[in-house]
Amino acid sequence: MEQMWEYCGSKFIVIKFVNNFFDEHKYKMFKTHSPLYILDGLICNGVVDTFDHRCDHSCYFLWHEKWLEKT
Amino acid sequence: MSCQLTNIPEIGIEKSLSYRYYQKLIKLLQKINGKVLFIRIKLKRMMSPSSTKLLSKSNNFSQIKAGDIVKVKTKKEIQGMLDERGKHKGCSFIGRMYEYCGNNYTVLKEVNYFFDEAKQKMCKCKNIVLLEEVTCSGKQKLFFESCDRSCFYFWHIDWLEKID
Repeated sequence: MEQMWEYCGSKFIVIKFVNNFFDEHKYKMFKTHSPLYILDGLICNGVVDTFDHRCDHSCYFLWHEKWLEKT
Repeated sequence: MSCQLTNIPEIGIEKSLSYRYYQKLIKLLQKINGKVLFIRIKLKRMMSPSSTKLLSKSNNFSQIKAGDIVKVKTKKEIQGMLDERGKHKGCSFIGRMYEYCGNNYTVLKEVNYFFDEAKQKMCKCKNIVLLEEVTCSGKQKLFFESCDRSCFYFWHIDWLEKID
């Protein structure tokens, strides 16, 4: 997502490893293809081009392990 | 660029065939349970229309803003507000949320619009806030594994008390 670029080059703490997630639309639990992570404090601000309004859901971004580097 | 939520099916793989059938069964049971509950509520209201709760206007909203410190009301107080479906003015109170009762939290955000993943559309809402660091543990009844998405719970302002 566009907003995620602003965090490039910065350091964050991993708060969760996403192994399973629930898809509310399909009402099913899925296993992730590849490892995904949730980083502390990095939540979506809800500004998305395809939405008419700003979403206040404040979801944590999902980060692929290849986008991260352990320090 | 779209929201990660709208693309979420692409990042997952289906569970085993037996688990998929198990999930279908859960979905069916929950659908039946919902229908039974709906009929029961309708019948109850038809039998005694006076028992229908009057929806009072929340006058708490203008006072609760992002950054405010709030106290979650007691379990007894919240239970008194919930209807037969465990909802208050349409907002569900999940069993796992009771562990936060009586504690103080900072309001992270007021929710005016949110993307409803189940309906796949943007919904408008009022009198709902998110609390800092109060996220879903992902444990669900009947599911073996817990969801790791860590979504923020939706709190109706009537369940909260502003601390000065």
